[in-house]
Amino acid sequence: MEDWDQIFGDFGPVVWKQTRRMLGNASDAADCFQTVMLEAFELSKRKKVRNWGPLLRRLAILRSLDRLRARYRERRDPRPVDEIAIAAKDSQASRSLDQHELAERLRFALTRLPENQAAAFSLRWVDGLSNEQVAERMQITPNHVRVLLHRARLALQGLLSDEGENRS
Amino acid sequence: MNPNHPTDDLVEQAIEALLNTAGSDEPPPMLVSQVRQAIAERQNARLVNRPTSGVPRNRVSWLALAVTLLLMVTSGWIVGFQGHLLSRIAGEQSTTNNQSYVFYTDGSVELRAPEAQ
Repeated sequence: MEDWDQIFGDFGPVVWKQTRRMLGNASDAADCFQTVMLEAFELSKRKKVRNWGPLLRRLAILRSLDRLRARYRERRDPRPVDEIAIAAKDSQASRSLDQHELAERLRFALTRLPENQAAAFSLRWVDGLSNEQVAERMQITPNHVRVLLHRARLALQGLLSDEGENRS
Repeated sequence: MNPNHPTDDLVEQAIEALLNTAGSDEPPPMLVSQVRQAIAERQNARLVNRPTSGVPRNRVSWLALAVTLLLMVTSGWIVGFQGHLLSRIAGEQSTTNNQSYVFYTDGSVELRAPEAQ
């Protein structure tokens, strides 16, 4: 039987940090923390978990993205992501922004990306994994990860700029 | 971060802002306690509901299993191909020369001669 006291001690802070960063507030982070831990427990009932760290970190990212999508579901721009990215190439909205607002815009923008791009981007830049580690977690090739990250960055640049211009 | 992008890249700034989100790095003890308790309850439920059926392969009675399978195959063959053993008369048709055809439920037909007076 798994030693959950040890799992909480070893990985609880990591999961908490991930969810808090991704979601930006303690209330949502607490809900997500609970979801991640219970999902990990259910997974461990069906299959022996050899490495808890990667599993919990990935779950933390994925469930945080789910929660962000639910949060911003009604704030959707009807244009496709690619169109927004192209439109934003010409704009220069990279002016100085409030850090909190900028983080919030990134959270919203992540919900507009295709699921695999958002996951790859979050694992790479929020979780701090290497491309190879992201590839391993997502069970794709490192080249595919690079493509996803490139597309995600391009789309995010567009979404962040676009969002900034819409508000100004 | 990525050296291919300028440092004033809006995405880079946003990532930095996200990583610098204010707050404690430790989960609230109350939250940990609640989740830990929920998992403990589920662990206990799992122990109660754990299936007890199933026998290790080395303890299976292979002879009994083989005999059972043989009986099932044999009885299936009897019912399937020797159905006439269990068949009944389905109908009868008389002919003009006092003979009669008897039809059985397995599809076979028997021609009967008139009974002696």
